[in-house]
Amino acid sequence: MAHPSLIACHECDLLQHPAPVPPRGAAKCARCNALLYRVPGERGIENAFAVLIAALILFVVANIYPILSMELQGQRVDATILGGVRELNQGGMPAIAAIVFLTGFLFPLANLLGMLAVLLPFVRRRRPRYLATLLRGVMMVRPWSMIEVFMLGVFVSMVKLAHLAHVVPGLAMAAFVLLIVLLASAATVIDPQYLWSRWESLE
Amino acid sequence: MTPAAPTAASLGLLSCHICGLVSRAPAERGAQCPRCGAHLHLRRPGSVQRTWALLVASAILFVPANLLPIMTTTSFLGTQSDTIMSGVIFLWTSGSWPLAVIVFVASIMVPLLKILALGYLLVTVQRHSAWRPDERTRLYRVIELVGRWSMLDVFVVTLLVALVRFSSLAIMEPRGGALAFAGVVILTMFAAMSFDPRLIWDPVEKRDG
Repeated sequence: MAHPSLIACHECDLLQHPAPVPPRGAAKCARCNALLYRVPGERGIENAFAVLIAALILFVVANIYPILSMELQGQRVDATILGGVRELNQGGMPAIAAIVFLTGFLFPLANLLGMLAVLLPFVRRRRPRYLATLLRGVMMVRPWSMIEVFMLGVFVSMVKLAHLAHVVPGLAMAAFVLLIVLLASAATVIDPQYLWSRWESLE
Repeated sequence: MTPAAPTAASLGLLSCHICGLVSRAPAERGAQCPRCGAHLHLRRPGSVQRTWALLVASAILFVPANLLPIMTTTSFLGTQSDTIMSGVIFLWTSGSWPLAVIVFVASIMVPLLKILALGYLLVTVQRHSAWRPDERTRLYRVIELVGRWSMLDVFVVTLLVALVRFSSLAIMEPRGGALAFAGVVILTMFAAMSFDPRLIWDPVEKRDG
């Protein structure tokens, strides 16, 4: 016995009929003001799909090209995320290498790919068997995807190294900044709670 | 605030922690959500105990995370060990005080306040406090939002080591403090996730009838 039209606030358990939410609006809990879900604009899911494909391309660029380069006596050292992970691993810190690999590379990638795979059925209005597991997986991975924190780390590193050598931002830096802006703009559309609320509209 | 607002639990309804679907609580335990198949619980099972355990572990780890060096730099000037705090002081004295403030807040203030705030929420929940539930929920929301930013210094160490390790001017190596610090961030994130904010509101329900 399920009640898809009712919603219980995940923060205070208040049972409510959410009032109709305009496009680009958000439903909030009547008692504790928690964000229940966000509603995308017109053709929001199709737009989000396009944004995610762009984000995926940027993610590839951000990981192939160096984020920072250091020049010293004609010698040039480039840093990428995966290169940093390799250095940490060889430097006797496999546990930290694993944490950086997961939060700076694997989980962000899984979040992007997972979201694309989740949105495709919503575009086609189908409900494949794997959809629930996939959406659940994306929700689990998301808090551990930390590219914006990583980006702040890049700025701090630049300042810390400035007294040692000449440090220049690489192409990946621009890709990362764009990627973070894109994901922030798509965040309203790729709210998993909204997708769950649309579950019954799929065949 | 509306008094005596019905919660799902008070009407014998369960909401799925994954997909949010509200359904009638079945008589037997171990029921599954009819929409997404997740196991249904009235409240997160063992929420208070689990959060306490993770919180105590992260509080213990917070000590070596701040006392042990996170990185050593060996150059022609000798060997220098850096803790989280000495990194902040370096940024401050080298003139980049906005970054010094950011790193200080993300690496020292946030983990510390997070541990204290979660401890406070747990104590009030255990005492069935009905005092300002909306403020305490807001506190929980902030804790969940800012926790991830503490990972900042782990990424900084990674980038410094990656850039400097092979150069002729210095050798930078990660040290145990960095691992302890990453442990604090991960444990406090798990602690915040295992806390069930609906426990804050359950005593309110009882008080208002």
